[in-house]
Amino acid sequence: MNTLSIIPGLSIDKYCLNWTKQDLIPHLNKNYKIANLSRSYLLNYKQFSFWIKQENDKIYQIGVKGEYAGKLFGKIGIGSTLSDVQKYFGDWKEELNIYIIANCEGVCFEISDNDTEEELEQDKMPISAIYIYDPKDVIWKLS
Amino acid sequence: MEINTQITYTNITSYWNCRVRCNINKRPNDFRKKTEQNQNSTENTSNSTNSKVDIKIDANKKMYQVGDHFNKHGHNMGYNSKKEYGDAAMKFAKENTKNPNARIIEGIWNGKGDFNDMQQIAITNENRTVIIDKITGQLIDFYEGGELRGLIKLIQLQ
Repeated sequence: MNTLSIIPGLSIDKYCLNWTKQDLIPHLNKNYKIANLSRSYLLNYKQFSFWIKQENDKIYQIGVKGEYAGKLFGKIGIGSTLSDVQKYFGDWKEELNIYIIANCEGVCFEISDNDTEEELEQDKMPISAIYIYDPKDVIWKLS
Repeated sequence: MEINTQITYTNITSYWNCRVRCNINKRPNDFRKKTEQNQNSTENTSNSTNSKVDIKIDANKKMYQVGDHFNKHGHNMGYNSKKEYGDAAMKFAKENTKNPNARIIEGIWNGKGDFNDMQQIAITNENRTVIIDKITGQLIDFYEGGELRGLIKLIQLQ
């Protein structure tokens, strides 16, 4: 069984949204770092980042980047492009500096920027990070 | 003198509604101006001043996603290249951190992704705004208007 998988709104590999920090820690070795943010803790571990709400200690966003090899439904991973997203999942759109799939909630992407003076073509740039989240979580409501 | 004035920001909902309606993939360059600008986003704030605002700017780091932001805003602002746009953003940020006439607001980024829940500084002057990561000092965006989309829990520093 391939455990490297990104499931929107649910999990990345064995790590699940809504786990508490206590659920998560036993799955990590000691090489993780925690930073305090405004309403959350950010726990960085290898290629993973976990955003954990301070109010209830639960994970509400998980991100992967760098050498992470897992893929969204076996198709889209780090290094894929928004053209690939279009090919396999249909329209994508931008939302506050990240990119989401129009018909698939709970996952978003960041793309790399090129280091040249050439015009950036969004759909050709490699995806540099993938995040999952529960789109119904109240934390995403702007207030 | 009143500082740390909490700002009520209510018009962001219209932005979200608009984005949902538009379902955009390829946006026209003036999309942001037409649909997202919200010049009144802080109209209910009281004036406050703080002459000791200390803002970190990292001049060695390129703007986050500078190519993407140049595509969205740089052309319309009259810049011909990413470098020109990035340099102008840095100049604007440096000049206006010390400008008593600039509006300086701190907020929390509530968008998804790497910056989620991180503190950002918005400096607005003469209908232009630069966004800076408070901790690292990296520039994040530079655009026309004073809208602060995606930022919540706004506190006016100056």
